[in-house]
Amino acid sequence: MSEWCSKEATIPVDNHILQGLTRPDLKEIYERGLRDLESARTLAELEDLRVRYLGRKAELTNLLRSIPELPASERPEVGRFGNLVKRELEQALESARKDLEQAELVKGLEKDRVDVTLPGRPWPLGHLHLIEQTRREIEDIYVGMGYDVVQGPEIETDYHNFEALNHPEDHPARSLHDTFFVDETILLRTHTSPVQVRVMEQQSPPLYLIAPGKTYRRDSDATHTPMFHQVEGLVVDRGVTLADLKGTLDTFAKKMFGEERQIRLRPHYFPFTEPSVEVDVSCMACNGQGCRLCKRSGWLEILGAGMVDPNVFGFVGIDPEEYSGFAFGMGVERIAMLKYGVNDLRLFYENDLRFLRQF
Amino acid sequence: MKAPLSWLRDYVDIALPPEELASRLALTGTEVERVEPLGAPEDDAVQKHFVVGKVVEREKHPDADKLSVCRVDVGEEAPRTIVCGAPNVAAGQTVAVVLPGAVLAGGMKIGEAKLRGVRSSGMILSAAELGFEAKSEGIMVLPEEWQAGEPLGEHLPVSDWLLDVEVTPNRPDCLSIKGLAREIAAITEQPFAEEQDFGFPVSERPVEEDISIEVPAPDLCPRYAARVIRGVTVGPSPLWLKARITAAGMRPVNNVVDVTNYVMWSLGQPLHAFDLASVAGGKIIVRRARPGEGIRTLDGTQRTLTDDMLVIADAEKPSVIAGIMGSIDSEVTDNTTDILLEAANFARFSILKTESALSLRSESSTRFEKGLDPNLIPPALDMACALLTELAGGEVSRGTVDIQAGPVEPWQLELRVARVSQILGIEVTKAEMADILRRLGCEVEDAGDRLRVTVPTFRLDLEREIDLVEEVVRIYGLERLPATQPCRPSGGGGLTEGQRKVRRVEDLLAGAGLTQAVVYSFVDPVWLAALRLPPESPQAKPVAIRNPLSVEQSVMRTMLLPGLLATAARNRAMREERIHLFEVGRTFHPEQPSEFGGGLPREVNRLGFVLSGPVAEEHWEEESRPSDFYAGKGLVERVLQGLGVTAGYGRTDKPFLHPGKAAQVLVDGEEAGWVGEVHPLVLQAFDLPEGLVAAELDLDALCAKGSALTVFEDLITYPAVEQDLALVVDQNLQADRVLRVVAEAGGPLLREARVFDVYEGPQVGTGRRSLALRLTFRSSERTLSEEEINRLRSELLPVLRERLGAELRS
Ligand SMILES: [Zn+2]
Repeated sequence: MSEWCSKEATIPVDNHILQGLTRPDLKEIYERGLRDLESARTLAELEDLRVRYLGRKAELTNLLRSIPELPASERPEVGRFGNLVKRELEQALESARKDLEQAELVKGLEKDRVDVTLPGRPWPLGHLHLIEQTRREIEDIYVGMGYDVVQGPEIETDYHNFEALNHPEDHPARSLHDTFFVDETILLRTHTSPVQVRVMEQQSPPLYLIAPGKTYRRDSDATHTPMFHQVEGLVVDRGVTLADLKGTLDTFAKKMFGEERQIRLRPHYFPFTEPSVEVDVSCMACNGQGCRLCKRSGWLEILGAGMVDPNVFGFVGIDPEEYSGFAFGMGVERIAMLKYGVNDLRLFYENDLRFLRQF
Repeated sequence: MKAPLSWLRDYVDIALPPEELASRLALTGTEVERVEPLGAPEDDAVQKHFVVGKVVEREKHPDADKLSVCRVDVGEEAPRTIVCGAPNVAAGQTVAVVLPGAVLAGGMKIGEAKLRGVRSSGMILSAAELGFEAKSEGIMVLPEEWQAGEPLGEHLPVSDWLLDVEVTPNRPDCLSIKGLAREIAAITEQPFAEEQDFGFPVSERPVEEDISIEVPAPDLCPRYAARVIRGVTVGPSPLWLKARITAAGMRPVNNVVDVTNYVMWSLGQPLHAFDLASVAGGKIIVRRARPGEGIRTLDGTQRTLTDDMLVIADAEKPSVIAGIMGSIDSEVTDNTTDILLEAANFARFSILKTESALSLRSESSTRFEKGLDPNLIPPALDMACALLTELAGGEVSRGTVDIQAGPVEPWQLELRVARVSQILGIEVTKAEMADILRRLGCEVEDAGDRLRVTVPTFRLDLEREIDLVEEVVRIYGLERLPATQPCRPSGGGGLTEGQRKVRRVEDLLAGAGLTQAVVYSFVDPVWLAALRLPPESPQAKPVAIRNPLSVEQSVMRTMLLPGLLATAARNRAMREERIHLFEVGRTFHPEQPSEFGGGLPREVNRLGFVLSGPVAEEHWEEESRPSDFYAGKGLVERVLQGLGVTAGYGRTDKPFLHPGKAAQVLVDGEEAGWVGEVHPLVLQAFDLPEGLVAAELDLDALCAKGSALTVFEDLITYPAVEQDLALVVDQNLQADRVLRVVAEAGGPLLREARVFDVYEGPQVGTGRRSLALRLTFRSSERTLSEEEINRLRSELLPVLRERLGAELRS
């Protein structure tokens, strides 16, 4: 029997309820009864005791039944104390029964055991694609900074994809070699940057937005897939500076890759931004010390960015003397590969469940 | 662009260690792909082992036919004995010797060695062993005037560093040693040394007597200049030239070709040398090709030209595809004595188009395609004439044929001082700006609140004020910019309701055990047939890509299903049993107008899934159900619930679905998708086993339909009461017909009716089945009494009997 359901061992023989009882037989029944009940170890034993002390042929029952035949002087005492003793014994019996029942239940549970190391019944759990997870992380970071998330078409006009982004007609990217064309003027967008143009055509500054989506280039090898994902960013407002771009991307890099990350800007060239920069983040594998991942440089390139070129503002009718802005574009796969250590771009598109279920 | 440091040092002092120089270049916009040592290690301990030697004696090796035993004077007390295997070694030669203790390029260590019994204390070097050419026939024979024992490094680049830089397309001026050196001078604040004047012997004969030139296509050739050099001797280049050509990654050919390449590498201006004897009629015509005209280019390929390509032709035929590659016939050969040297400027767009049409690029065309300064031409011709006459002899005919539309002069730009900090977010002083621009080769004049900047013609990319701002910050240093945040005055930002809904659907499916796939948007047109789509169906008329990478990726998908089936099949081949995949992505529909206009095809965001194999993972205690129609439908119902959309289901005859186990999903009477077991013939075509259920839903339509806001309804004060009703109906009567009649007949207090059990069997008789319905009654005004419910229920029965032939199951 467990500790917490055992009773106090002392039986209150001189119970105040029975004060004034003079008959030794009643007193003896009472004390013996309580003692016996206390020592009962099973429900069957308890049942025997019930019959013995409270049954129809029990001593006490007989005594109570015989009251009318008792001398008148004895009747009150036997009547009063006999019933009291009966009630007390009934209560004691009840409480002993409860104790024993609980004890038996607990004893039964001890035998009812499972192998807790066997697997649980499966509740199905699937996985979001790593590109989706990464895109959401990027979106959430910029949404937290007050950006909207917008979308544009994947099949684009040459005008939005190139011309309005200041790519001269003879720009190499506009060749059949690098871009998928549907016809002369319609193509699969080669970057998410045309969304910049579409938004600026329709809305006036201030603009704070990112545009995630699929993009396409005519390239397929170990480090290029013909479809990939980008997230474009665009801010146009009064007084936006290159230093603001640096701060924004610094915040992004820290939220995406960890507080201890640093960024570095290198001048670069893009047709639709000027000044243009490429942005590196300090290598997370070696903490900037130089390793195989960062080719010993301590830095990993993560995105391209720059100040919106005044020519682009010209195409969409925004006055570059009143407004300035910055834009950036990053490859979702690249960010995912760096963050999660994926070493082969093609894994993203093979959709092998063994890969997808890891994340 | 490969640039040896020793070559850059012709123009600028470089004190920085190569790695630091590379990082400085990278941080100012010139990406350095590699920095690597060339030749032997640079340290003095190694260098002192490379010396000039004189072969005093040569004898045949007593025990080896091909070896010579030489006595070589390397400036020591006595000549050394060196065993040499080269066939051309001879007494009296001046040679390059490496002594024991040295390390060659690639790490090979030189020690004392015994060759067939003769001890050799050193090695006589070939040009290849010093990296001056790819392969040598014998040892290098050096000029006689070099003295025995002199360090070889005083005469030849025994040891060097190579920078391999990636030049951005706006900086073709840096595709030259000189341009790169000018950039290095600017970023390291070192003086930049222009080359000296070039002198060369000039004959009395005017160039016009040698050659006449016409440019009938001036739009494609803004400047064409030529000189003639007569009496040259074509032969191998000297070692220093071979060494530089090799270090630059080119192959030494002969002195004439090497000089043209050398000048191109030095100055960035491509040159072309013709054998004057091969120029028919002494005439050069810079014209468009005649349609169908052919040329066999230097790479040995016969090419057919079109009339938008520019050629350099003589009186008879084209001999060069202008700026790109010459023909084999006009090439300078060992017998050439007279040379026509061309330096021209070609329109970049024409070069690009021709390159792309012919899939042909060269060192020359990669420069022209980015646009070159026409003023590079005179110095390039001068440098080439000086080198050619020095190395190959001959005389330059007097004068230059130089045909150009008009001179290109330096131009002026204004840079507002305040504008710079407005764009950059940092104060740069006027003096700093002026200093930076001057270092880059500009002339700068202070005009109060602005600088007046004269741009040299080699910086064709500096056209606007913003270009100057970029130059300032590039050299000033991006690392000096502070990191600030733009202040967003109006706050805001966030996902739209539609974007949140798509995320919810994705989460919901992942929560139900499906894994998300991301599949290419372009598909194999074969799949359209594999889906048994009739040719006239809109799904069988996809957007086609004109220039696909392969036929397998040549049309834009109109459905998600084929990509998902292919993905399932690929996983199946990897022995996956349980394949539950979903995708959210766009499909493309050319026959419908796009919301974006512009003649674009309509793009629809769709959700698709496929379920193959058991619904749940294998478990020791429980058997899993198969992925059948109802598994798919349950998932569709869940998605719709998540979007707050109610839908109906009707039969469908989509050719790719099982005719009896498929439904269209109807929202407000319009098809918003389908769900069904995929047709076994389709599965066969995709190499998939039978028993696969799939669905596709139009997410755009569903997101637009679902209610944005759930308004509170009190379901607690007056609780609902449920009543079960088991009906026996004809076996073919569809459940939703029963439910519809129940809903119509149940009155306003009937809030919901659904099927919770279906029984077919002997108890209800053949051709019949029992549907157990759970009816939910609720009033929003009072608690319904049992009598009321019983009355409603009993009123229903005669209607159901009459309209559906339904009987209460006993
Ligand atoms: Zn690293």
